[in-house]
Amino acid sequence: MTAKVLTVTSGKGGVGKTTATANIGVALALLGQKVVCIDSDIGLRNLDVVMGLENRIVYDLVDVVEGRARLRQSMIKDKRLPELYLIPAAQTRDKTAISPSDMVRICDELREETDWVLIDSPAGIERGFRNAIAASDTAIIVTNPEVSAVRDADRIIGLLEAEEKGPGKLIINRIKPELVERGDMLATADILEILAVDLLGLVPEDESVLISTNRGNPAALDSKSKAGQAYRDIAGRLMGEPIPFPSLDGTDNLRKRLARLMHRGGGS
Amino acid sequence: MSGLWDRLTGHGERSSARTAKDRLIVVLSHDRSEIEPGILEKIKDEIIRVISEHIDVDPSTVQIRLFSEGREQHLRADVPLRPPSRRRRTF
Repeated sequence: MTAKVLTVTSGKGGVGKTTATANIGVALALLGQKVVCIDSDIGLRNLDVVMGLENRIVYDLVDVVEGRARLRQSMIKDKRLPELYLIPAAQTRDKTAISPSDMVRICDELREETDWVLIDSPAGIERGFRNAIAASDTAIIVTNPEVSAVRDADRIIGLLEAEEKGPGKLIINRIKPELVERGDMLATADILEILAVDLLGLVPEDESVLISTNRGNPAALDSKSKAGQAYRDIAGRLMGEPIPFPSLDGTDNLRKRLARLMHRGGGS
Repeated sequence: MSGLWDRLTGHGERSSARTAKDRLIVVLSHDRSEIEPGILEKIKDEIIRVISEHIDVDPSTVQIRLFSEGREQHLRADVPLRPPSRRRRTF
């Protein structure tokens, strides 16, 4: 096996990096892939709770780097999927506890025995971000349809290009189709035009994400969740399947809007 | 008619998404080029000064701005010349 190493990053905090990492990991594992998720947010560990594996941590990433544990010992096996693993972040240390070369070494070791390594990056553009992208083959940039998140995504794309890590692939998360339709939320086409980057996925705002996170069961495991479906589509695209993007811009509703307009008699 | 079109497409003049996009385009052109907006004003003043030594221009019509083509950045200066009739009258 020669794993692909994907870094999930965003610049801005709170756009859904950790949720995306957990769900893409789950969705790839559902396709029979062997996946290792690494939480590289040292000191602000969260991927463990989102994946529902927080009670099984013995060793963490810093233990591996500092030689207290072997890589294998730090890999927590998921309870639902046989080929999904988590390497948690240390909670009591900071970003300086690991270096970009540590990440390269760990990922090189993992490449031999897995299909995918997913690295959850911390927010920001400092040391933690450098650590997270050091071993990356492809960056997945998560953004939301709002000015601050898009601006920070642009900054990250610029930094990735400067590090010769390629332009990355974009996930637009928390899209509210009714707001896009009304002209109160940036549309997918606008964001893609501004950022000039390839699209990997469109994830709608979906309360099932909150509920599934409450329970520690990523939404990708829920066949009825719309966001879960979006993440399963993303996993399919990563596997090379030509899965079409759903329209979350309300453009399907043109006829509906026309009907409403006619009903109103064209008045305001 | 444009009002009707805007309502159909959901992209009316006053749409906040449109404002967001326009603001992002400007702010990102500055972020990407690492040129603060105030620097452009200085460049503009100097361009006007240099051109005015040779050609009669109206400073209020000069525009200088950054724009993107894909992820490539350009600096565009637009210096309208005074119409010939007005130019003749000035001389």
